[in-house]
Amino acid sequence: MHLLLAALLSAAPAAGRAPGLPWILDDWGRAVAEARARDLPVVVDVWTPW
Amino acid sequence: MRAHVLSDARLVKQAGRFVWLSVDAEKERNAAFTERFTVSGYPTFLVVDPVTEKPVLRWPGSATVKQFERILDDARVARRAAGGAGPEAALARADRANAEDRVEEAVAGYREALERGGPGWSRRPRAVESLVLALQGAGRDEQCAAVAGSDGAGLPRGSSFANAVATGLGCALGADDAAPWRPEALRRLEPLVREAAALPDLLADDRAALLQTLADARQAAGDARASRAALTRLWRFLEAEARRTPSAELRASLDSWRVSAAIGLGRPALAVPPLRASERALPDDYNPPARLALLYREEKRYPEAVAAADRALARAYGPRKLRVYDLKATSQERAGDRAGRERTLAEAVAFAATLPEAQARGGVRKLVARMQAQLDGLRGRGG
Repeated sequence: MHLLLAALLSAAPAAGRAPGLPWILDDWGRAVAEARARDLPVVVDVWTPW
Repeated sequence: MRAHVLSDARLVKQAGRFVWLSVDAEKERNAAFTERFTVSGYPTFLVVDPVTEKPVLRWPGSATVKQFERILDDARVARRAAGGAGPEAALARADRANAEDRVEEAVAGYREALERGGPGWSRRPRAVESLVLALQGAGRDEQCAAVAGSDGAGLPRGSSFANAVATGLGCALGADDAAPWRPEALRRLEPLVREAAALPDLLADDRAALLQTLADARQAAGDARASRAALTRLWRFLEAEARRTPSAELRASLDSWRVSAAIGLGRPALAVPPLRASERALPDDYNPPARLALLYREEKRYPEAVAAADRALARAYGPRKLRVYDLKATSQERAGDRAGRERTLAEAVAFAATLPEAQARGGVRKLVARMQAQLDGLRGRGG
């Protein structure tokens, strides 16, 4: 399959967010600071808008 | 995953157990993060220990709500587990090794966990799935297909079974045609994927992937008629999903499959109406016009392809914007628009120069080099 076609087809589609999960958007520093303060692991959704 | 799972109300109870971070890998501000935590595909979920700032579990791709909850449970175990002889401890060690790209250790750990857990172990499906995915990620196609065809085949019929055998078939399909193990692996895995595609309660995205993989397998076998039948089945499934899906975002989440099915069937125009509907419903999303550009290009409707690419470029950002430039340039090339193609390539190369170093590696670098060479060629001939 053509490289571009594969790239266009294989990536994750953009979509909405769960209203109940308190997502921090694009801020690793804030997430890790909050996680240390609360002694919780960080779940990271690494995505692209494709 | 984002449309079908992360929006599920059943996950709300997990809210207080983790800190939740969403990272758009295309954004410049996330370049440092993506350089530090490399992933090979999207989406990928990482669970990171905030003290060590190291990942304790990495999950590529999708999962059902139930699977995702188990993954989250296992990640909490992986964060705490330092030793122990039980299968859960072995799984935790394997997960940590896998998350840190220590492939040998991860594969050995998953095998150890499976051996210790035995056939009735509750985590067996997830451990087999993780082992197959780790082998795929490491490019070990033969082992990937072998584990999927043996351990994967023995799993209870559900999402992990479906993902394991489909990944294994993907490994076999992606291997060198001359690989001596490949024919037997294809014979073993294709019926299992066919069985998986008939299971109830799969994510729509996963079912579409299974049907596409079956079409690819028939194509690889030289059976064009059966491949077309599988694509027709995929298209009908997508039509049914569109009819029953309440929101535009959920419908659009399957658009990539609509495009691949329509192009595979040799009828790109089939997917134009649903993609135009997605563009109208999601005006800020550059995916629908980018996909329309691809469909129009394959239909040889080049002016419409260029116009759709321009609409996508107006909304796009990050390294993948280069792929839209490439789409526009190839449409112009096929239309014989030399001057337009030169302008597009020049814009693309100039845009690439603005990307942070961390976003301009690997495939992006290769694409830019190709576009630069094409631009040089045009300018060299044109003076």
